[in-house]
Amino acid sequence: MDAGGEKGRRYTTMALGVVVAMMFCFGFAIAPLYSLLCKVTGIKAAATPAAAPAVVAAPGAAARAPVDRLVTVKFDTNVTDGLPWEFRPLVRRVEVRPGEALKVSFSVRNLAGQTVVARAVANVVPWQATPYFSKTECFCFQEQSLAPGETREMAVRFLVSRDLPEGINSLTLSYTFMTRVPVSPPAGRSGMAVGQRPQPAAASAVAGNPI
Amino acid sequence: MSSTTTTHGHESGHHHGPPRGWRRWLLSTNHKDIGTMYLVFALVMLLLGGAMAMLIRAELFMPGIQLMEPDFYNNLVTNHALIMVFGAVMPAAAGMANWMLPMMIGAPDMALPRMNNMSFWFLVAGGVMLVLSMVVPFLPGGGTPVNTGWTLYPPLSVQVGMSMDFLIFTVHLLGISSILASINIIVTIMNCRAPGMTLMKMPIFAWSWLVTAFLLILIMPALAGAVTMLLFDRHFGTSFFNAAGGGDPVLFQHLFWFFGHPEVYVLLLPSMGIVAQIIPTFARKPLFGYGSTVGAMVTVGTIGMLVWAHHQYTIGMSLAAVTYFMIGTILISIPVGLLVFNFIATMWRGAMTFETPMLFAVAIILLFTFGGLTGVMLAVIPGDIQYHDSYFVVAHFHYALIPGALLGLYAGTFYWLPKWTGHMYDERLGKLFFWMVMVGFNMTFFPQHFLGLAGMPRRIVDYNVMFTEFNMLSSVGAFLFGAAHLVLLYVIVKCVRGGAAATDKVWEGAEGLEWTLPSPPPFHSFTTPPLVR
Repeated sequence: MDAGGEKGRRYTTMALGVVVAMMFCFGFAIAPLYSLLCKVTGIKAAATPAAAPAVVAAPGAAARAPVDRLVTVKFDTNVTDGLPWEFRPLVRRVEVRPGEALKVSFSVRNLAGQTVVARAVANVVPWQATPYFSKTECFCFQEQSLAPGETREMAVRFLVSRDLPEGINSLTLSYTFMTRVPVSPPAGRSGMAVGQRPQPAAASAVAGNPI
Repeated sequence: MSSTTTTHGHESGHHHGPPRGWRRWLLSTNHKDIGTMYLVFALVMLLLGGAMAMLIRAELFMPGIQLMEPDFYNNLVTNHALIMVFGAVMPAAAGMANWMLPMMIGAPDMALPRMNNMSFWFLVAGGVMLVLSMVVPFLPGGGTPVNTGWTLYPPLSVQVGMSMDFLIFTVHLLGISSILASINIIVTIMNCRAPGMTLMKMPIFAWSWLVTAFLLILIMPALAGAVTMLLFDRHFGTSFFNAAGGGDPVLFQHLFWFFGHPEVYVLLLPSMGIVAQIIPTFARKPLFGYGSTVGAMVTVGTIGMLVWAHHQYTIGMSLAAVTYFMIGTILISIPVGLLVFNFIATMWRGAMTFETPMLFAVAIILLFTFGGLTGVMLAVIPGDIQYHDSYFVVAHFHYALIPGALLGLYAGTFYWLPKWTGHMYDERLGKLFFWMVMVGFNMTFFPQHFLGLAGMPRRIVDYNVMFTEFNMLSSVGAFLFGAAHLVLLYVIVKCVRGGAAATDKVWEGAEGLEWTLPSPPPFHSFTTPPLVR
């Protein structure tokens, strides 16, 4: 079964040698080939968050006509452990056309017997939709202070980009109110030596940006 | 064929048997002698790499830094891996291919005997360079040791001292060596089979090596390209991997794992081929599902080429990309599962006996399946992000590679040692070795799963005190595992030096051309090709 004897062996050896040379070149060609693939198929532009938000952030984005398609936006509210606030959305979900700005409100109530300061952190799920979701006006942009027993309505105005990928038909905007430790003048703060470890409470008070 | 036969007859007419002295080995073009040299080289490297593992486990016996500098520890981790992969497992598998393939397919020798000699001596040169890369940091002006881990990721690998240049050159030499050896094996299998032996009549070991050799010629050049870029980045001012110059370190990761993942199957497949030879012999039944076993090996090789980035889930690839790599990786468990089921079905209702090779083969089925199971866990993206760079990964790949590659080579060693030497090995010591390996191996690596899940990171010289007990257990197991290899060395030396004479067939249930030759086979075998029906 010596296919072609000496000649056959030489042919097989040569063919394999060519494969080796090609694979060596492939190592160097892999990056340009990937760029080419991305350009042709548009994989990277659709998949990389960094590539997308420019469209959303553009000032003219809101002015562009809404797309004729409905996206469900759900609202989720949380408070961190130990924060005596009641926090709930006034509407659980809305249907919105991408490109159309909308305003929704939340109700927040302080259950404690003292003034409490807290700040909300927003989060969009699924994360792939994050670059296509922008808030033009939001209570989460600054700290909120509520007097004992006070109830307040807080609003957010948001916009889902027209460029929201086809696959995403529903997204959730989740807010979490984070505690701000009540400001009390930290004892001995001014006299603290360099390198001395601040107490945890004092540390968070210093870290929190006083407004 | 006729031309080669006459050439060979002509040559042996001059020599009258093997040439004497050092020329026999240095200038050898005989597949059996080159096979022996490969195996001896692999054994030396196995003991060297094993000694490094012992040092690693000694350092990890207790928390804190007792025995060595952190840099040297990381160097040990790096070179343990490189020596075991490139120095021990691949050469041992290549040695067995050299010894057995021509005899199995009825060829007089490898197709390209001079290239065979060259690929072996390139390997030795590479091995020397690899050891030198460990030595230079101890010399004045030697710089830092290679402390990157075997993956050699930049930017760290760009900053390491000149030991990295030695290592890059090592990879070039080893790459050339295995590419030449692979070309030789493919040409031998494609062009030198005995009349009547079609591809689908070949012994399964030949098939496993055919797939392996194709993988090697596809991946080794890519690795050579990657380390060449690294060399250029280090010395010639290019920026392939330097972000400041417009490059990307992630490119190296892709190139490395484009080589590195198929490399796993390069290590695995020859051993699976050996197991597929051994189980029918000792079950006294033909292999169940020959065609599907061949198909499974080809499929494993093919899919294995396309799933490399599952080693890099944490680099921030797009969701589409990681999903593709996850699904592709999990798909591999189907052909691998098929292999395992074929092995089990071969044993089903067989008249089994449990000599040392068979004990190893059965243990491989059990333990490799376990390593495969943790592999599926690691393939799942959210799981992997949790396990990434932890001891769970260390436990997983040792469970995959020790049973999947190393134990298969031990099984092959015991299976073919009587054929190679003409003497039976000491069966009692063989079994002692087997049980020491089983206890030592499982004791070493099983606790590492728990360590990893509890958060112990890999490649770090020290660890949190809460990990102490499992690490002690692991180290004790490792010392037992290491000691077992002294038994292995003794068994091999004893068998080479003498023992009960082995029959031609050696094992009652053995089938194939290689068992029709005397034990040990003559220096030149099958100078007239046998006829296969």
